[in-house]
Amino acid sequence: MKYLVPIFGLVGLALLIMLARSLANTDLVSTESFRLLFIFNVLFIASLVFLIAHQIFRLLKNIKKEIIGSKLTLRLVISFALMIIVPVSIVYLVSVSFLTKSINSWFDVKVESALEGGLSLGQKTLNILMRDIELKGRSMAYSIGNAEEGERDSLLRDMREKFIIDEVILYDQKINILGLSSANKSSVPTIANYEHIERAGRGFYGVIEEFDDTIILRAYIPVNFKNKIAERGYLEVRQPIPTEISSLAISVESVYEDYQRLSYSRKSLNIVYTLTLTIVLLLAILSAVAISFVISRKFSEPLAQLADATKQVAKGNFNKIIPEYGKKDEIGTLVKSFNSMTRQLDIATQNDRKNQHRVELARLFLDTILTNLSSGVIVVDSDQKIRLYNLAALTLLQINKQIIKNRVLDKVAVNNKELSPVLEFISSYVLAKGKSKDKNREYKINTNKNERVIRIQINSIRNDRKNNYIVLIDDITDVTEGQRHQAWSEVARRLAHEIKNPLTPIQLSAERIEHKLKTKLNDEDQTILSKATNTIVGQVNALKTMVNEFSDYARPPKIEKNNINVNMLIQSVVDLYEPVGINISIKQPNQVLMVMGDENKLRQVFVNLLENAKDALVDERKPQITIQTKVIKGTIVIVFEDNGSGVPENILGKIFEPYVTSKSHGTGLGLAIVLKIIEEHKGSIEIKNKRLGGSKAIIILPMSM
Amino acid sequence: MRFSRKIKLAIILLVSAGLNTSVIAENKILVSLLDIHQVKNIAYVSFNQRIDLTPELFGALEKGIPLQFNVNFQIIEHNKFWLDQIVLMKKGTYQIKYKNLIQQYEAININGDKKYFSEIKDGINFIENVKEWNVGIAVEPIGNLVMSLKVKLDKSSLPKPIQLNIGDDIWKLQSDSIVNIIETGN
Repeated sequence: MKYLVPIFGLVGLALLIMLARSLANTDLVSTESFRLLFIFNVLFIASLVFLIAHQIFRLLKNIKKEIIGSKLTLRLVISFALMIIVPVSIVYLVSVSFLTKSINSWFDVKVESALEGGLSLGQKTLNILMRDIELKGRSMAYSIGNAEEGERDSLLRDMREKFIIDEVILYDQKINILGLSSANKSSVPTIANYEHIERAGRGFYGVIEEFDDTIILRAYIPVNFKNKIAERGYLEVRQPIPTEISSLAISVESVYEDYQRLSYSRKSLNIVYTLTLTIVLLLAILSAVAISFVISRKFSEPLAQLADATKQVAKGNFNKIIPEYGKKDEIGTLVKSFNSMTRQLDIATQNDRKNQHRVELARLFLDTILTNLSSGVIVVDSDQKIRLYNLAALTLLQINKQIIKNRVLDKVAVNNKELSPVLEFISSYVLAKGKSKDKNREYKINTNKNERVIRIQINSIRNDRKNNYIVLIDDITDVTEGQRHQAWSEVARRLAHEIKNPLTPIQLSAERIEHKLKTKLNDEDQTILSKATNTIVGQVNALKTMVNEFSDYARPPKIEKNNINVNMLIQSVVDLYEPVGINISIKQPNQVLMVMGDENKLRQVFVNLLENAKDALVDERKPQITIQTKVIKGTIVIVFEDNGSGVPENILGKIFEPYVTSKSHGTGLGLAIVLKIIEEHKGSIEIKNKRLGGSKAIIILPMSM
Repeated sequence: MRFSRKIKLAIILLVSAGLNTSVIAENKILVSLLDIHQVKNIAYVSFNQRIDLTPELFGALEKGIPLQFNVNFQIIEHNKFWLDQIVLMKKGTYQIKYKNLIQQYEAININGDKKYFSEIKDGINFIENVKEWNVGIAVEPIGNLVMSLKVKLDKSSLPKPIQLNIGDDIWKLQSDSIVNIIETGN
């Protein structure tokens, strides 16, 4: 289409020129060529119409599809078309009117009348001359008719010379020449037409003939011979009219005929010129409209590209570059500026994306840190809304499956009553705008029958002209427990030290008193003395036992590690309890399970646990203890189970603390010591109640290779 | 839609204006009795014709426009396996013209004889009757020979505006091609 329109334009121009030349010089162009040219022009016009219709259809389709630039192209095409059609149409109308008037003005009535007058004059002159010839001919015919046969030739000559006639011929009825006289001796007489002779029989027949520039008058007159009544002759009088008169008459005739021919062709002339002008008009308008499509598209194309590129930029595509084609006009400058702008935008966007990516990475890093942080973190804004928190915070505060982001602290507190003190503390700190000196607090939170101790620490930060508050939540249960154990150990150690030292002298003194006084007293007193002494010794021993247990609990962590076969150790401990009457079953794998540890200490652990189980099975009709050892993920798991009464729920959470016991006897240090020994062996222990009754102690120890 | 309908109408009008000449019925010249004979190696053609002039043509004649007719005569040898071959071709003309000065019709027949007539029918009769038209050296009468003749009003002798007015069909005056088989005498 890009080249089709210019080609069409050139062909149209060529056809226009040919049509114009054919009209300007009709001698050069034959009728057939003109007809062919006309048909070519009509076909070309039809092609142009088709081309324009196709262009319009395509343009309307583009407008319907909302292709950028199509509306502008349409406007430009309409503008160009109007700019062409209006003046050309005016010129056309004026030209047609002018042409028609001009052609009509050629045929002036006066000119026609003058020409007709001239021709009529010529005709009348010829008629007068013919009448003159006729009169002369009749006179000659009369004379010859009355003359003798032998005198005819001389009479013909004499009368011809007398009347100044060019040629006289006498015929008989069979058109035989009876006599002839001619001014031109060498001329050969032309034989008369029989038809002329026949017509002359009626009295007279005159013929005017044109030969080149000469007009000849022929008069045929019948001759009645006086002595031959039955016969009749015919006289032909031939007289050319004078050259001056004939040439003038022929010239008038020629002009008259030309005028008449032209007058007759007037209608055709009008039609031909009007048709040609119409074709020229159509060719000019249609070619111009077709070219206007190309020009309009040329104009609108960069603007359309610009608009399209602007849309692309609006969508965020900054790679769109408009071809510049080296144009130095305003549009070229605009395109260059636009390309420069998009390039800068592209660079800025890329930098922005990089920054966003960096920020995202930093946020992800922070998220990862917060997620993996064992401490809970909550960020609260000045409106007491929770802006940020991590999983640890939810876990520590025991807030399960709740979305607390952007929620106000009060609303969180409504759903979590046990957290009210914590949230109130945070809220009060926020309300004080961080000016409160009370930044740290510890709270006990009971969940799942466990008591956990958490520490809340608040700091205020200023970000983007707003105050935000970072709440750090730490689980300090282990720390407090450790501190408590340490305190208990210290108490036990001092008690053991302070109490154990005087016990031996007390016991020895009591025994010495009994020994010295026993013999000196009567039986009744001896019995009293012996009873008192035994009581002192028994209580001292009881105190010693208690002190020893304290000592064990408080002793520094000192163990002698050896490779111990756990299964064998358990079996040896169980053997001690055979006579007790409790069914103890052992489930052990065939594999030898070795532990690097202190045999005596571990034995103490197992004995302690069996003792606790035995105590729990006192009222049980079918007491049953099960000991199971197994290997899980490279560790030895030892499980002690019984079907006893289980551990009271209220002490289950702090069962390993000193002096926590459900039994009426005992120091309450057994499980505390067990925990200490297991921890010294880098293991762990857990005690829980079974669902169907009884308790279960699970010990995990690292396996020795 | 209306616009495209208008365009279609314009195209139809333009095309019909260009081609209407072939649609309008033609004026006729009836040619008959086409004959050829040979005298001393010279072939002579005779034929009769009837030229029906329309009132428009009479009017044109009265205005001094000469009517010249072209006669196209051919002898063609038919070839079964190849293209037909033109053995002889001869063109002749005759014309009739009104002379305003002498108020007579000047008729020139195919042999160039000129005569003046007061009545147009006499002039037409003079040019219609073609006898002994010398068409050239006679050809050997062998093979399948046919002669063809066509008479046509010569438009090129008309005034140029009339020639160029392709929509004016009163000037389309011609005969059909008359084809006669030439007897070989074998």
